[in-house]
Amino acid sequence: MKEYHGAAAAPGKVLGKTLQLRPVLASSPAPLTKLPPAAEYQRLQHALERLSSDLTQHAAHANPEVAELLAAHQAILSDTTLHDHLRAAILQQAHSAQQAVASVFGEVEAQFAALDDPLFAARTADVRDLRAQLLAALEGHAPAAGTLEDLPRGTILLAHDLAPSQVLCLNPDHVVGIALAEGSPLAHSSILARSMGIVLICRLGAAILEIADGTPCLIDGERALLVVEPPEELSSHIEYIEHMQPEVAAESATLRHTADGVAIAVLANLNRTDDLPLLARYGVDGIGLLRSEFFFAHHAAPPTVEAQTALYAAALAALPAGTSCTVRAFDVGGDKSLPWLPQTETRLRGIRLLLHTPDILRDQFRALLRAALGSQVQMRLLLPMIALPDEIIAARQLLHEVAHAEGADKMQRIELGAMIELPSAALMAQEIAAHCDFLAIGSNDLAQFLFASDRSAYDAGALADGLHPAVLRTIAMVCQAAQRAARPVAICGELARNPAAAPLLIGLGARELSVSPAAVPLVKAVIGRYTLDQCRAIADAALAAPNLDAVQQLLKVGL
Amino acid sequence: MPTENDFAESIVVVANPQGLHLRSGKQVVQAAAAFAAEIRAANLSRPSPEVDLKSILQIMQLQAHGGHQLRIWAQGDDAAAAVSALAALIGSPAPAP
Repeated sequence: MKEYHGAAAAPGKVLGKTLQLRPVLASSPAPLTKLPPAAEYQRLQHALERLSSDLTQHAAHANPEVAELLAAHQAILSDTTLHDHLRAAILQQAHSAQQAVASVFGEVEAQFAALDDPLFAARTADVRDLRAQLLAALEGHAPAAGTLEDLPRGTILLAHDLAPSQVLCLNPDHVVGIALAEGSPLAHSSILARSMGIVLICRLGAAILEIADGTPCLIDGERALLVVEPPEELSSHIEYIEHMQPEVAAESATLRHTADGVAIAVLANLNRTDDLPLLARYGVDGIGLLRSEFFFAHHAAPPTVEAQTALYAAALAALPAGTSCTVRAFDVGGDKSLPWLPQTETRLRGIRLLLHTPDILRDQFRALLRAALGSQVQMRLLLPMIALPDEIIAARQLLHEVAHAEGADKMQRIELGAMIELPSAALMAQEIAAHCDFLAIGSNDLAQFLFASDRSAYDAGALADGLHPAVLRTIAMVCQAAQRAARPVAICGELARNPAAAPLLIGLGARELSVSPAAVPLVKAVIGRYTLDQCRAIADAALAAPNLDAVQQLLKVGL
Repeated sequence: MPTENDFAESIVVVANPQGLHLRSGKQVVQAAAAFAAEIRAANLSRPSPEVDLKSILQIMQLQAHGGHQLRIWAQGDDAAAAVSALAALIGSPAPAP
């Protein structure tokens, strides 16, 4: 066993097998015959246009984090200074288009690398990324295309650094972790990895580039640790993701209990329609969090009832009968905004913004009711950023009105739940639960608001940790309140997707966990090995822990 | 011969707590592009070059965080309008000394 320490950039803890990313364009391309300056300049402009239109196309289907990154890259590409320098390099200094791109982007890169503020210096990687993409466009091929998209299941990718556009090529169901010799937690690559659910550690040092391909490794994003050939006692309880092949999906679908037979549902988060086929493959017990705003992020106008109905119906159709589908109402505010649901003037967020724009909420209700009609899957609606019980009452009233207008008693088909992510909601959980059919704890936001930490890049290196006793005690309080009101509790977020934390969360009182589709079989397998009493013992010890380290130690021993 | 009307300047405090990064910088570029005047800025709160506010890459060189003081100045026909628009966009006016 050998351990490498780095800087935490995207959380999670998984086992996998290493694969070195070898530079594809290491050998310099054959020198092209240089055309007259005017023709070279035209080639450059075509390449810029093509890259820019690629970015636009990609952004149209991307989730908000990715779209934001692509918009930033667009902004760099259309920079006036950059264009002036490129034009001068070609038309005045008679450089070829490639030479101009290499030298002008090289200068900009050096300027950024010299900045002393790490947040701004981290943009060096974006400039370097765009240079590589532009050179590839000029040479008529995509950079490293095909190599990154088809990596085997359970891959931990090792590289010197990874450009944002390369991270976007990765299939998060195959690549479970990324270990970088360099890189920065503040870089866009790290932000993307977090949004894609891929564990990422940077600054591990060049020694990791010597690790042979196919070496079993544990990548621990919380402790920023890469463990090469982890000992049996560390790895035996976590299955290799690569064993989670389609044939085990059937098994995964039947794993629905703790070792002593307590029913636990492990559901999937759904961020994009591309993931719908994964639900059956990984044997999920339903959709635990359909982030509805992700699907319409780039619409100019609010999505129509028809477009929404089609989406929700497709989600229901992808699930086995008897499961449930939880759609979170459009969640906007804070660092998230949508062109058709602006919150700039009101500064309202979540449910309060929705109640302030009731037409949008009515349309969403209407679509949910229509999609749920006749389905054997329980439709659930989750209201984001609930602060107080009154908001549930107001939303339920609106739902009643819409259901009445739609005719029939379709109302019964939709369960209403509150997202518990604000400390005020945690403290009022019993009163809120009394007006709900279920509660769902959003562990990321809850941790963030408990610590008043900023989700922006500034805090990225020190992610507010869902395993902190402060968060766990809050979760325990919510679970107890829900139990008194006889309502089930689900947990979503990074915390749930850490397989080691699953028994702890069950012990705290959760009966549903929602994780990324690919993580479902693993979380189920772990839960199946623990009895409820064992889960409770872990939870009791964690609740009594004096600090985060103690909880992490406990889970390590527990595994 | 430039007249007094051709030049304007202002000192502002960056209001966005996240500073002038790519996202907020892009808005500045869009606003600056609407004016004919040359519009420049320097960060008074840390060593910084004088940059062109019509370039996102140059804006990033300011390394401006929320609370930093920027000097913004413009030269050209619509200099006064440019400075007041950008000062309003970037920040709250600096407190009187």
